[in-house]
Amino acid sequence: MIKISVVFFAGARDIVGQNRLEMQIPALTSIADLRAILIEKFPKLESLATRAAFAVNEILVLTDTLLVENDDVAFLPAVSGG
Amino acid sequence: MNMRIKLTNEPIAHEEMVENCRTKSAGAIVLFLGTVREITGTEQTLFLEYEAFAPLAEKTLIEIAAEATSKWGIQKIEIIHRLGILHPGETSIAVCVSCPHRADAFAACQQIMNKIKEVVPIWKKETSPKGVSNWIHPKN
Repeated sequence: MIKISVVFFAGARDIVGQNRLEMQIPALTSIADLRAILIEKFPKLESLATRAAFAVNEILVLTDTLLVENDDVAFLPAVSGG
Repeated sequence: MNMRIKLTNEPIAHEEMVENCRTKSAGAIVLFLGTVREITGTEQTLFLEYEAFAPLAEKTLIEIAAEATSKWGIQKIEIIHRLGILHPGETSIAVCVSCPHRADAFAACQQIMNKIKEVVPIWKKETSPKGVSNWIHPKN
């Protein structure tokens, strides 16, 4: 298992109930896998998760990116700035 | 590069942005202000609250500004996005560009705003006069 941290914003933070989650996940977990883990843990997150973007260590990544120990993941729901 | 990108909790001083973008080689300065709208359809907004994933939002704004600069021949560019609580009429975003010709300056502002609304990690929450709050997460 590896330890990662996931930070949530806006509506996703409201659903999760906290700003940041420390998680233990299996090695070779991808962003797509993490998304599925999060939806299982927080079913209400599903509609935001399917359209969310993800950043790892402040860089946008594709969903096949594999996570490693101490990665700092950002869950970015569809944006509404401007 | 002649670029200033900022996220701020303070009111946006857009007059200063216009003066900063003034150059002798530009024949056009275009300033776009996004302002908080009180009525959307039948819904009334009491105030909006903006939040950002600041490090990535700043990086993404810099990329958008750099791409627009090379595409439209921008001389100077400033983008400031406000965060925190804003009331109707207040400025949430200001984009100011100077270019040799006006067509490029208008087009650059339009493209920059489209990109910002699509990819920059900033979110707004609407609160109605009845006290109902909703984060806005567009469906497409």
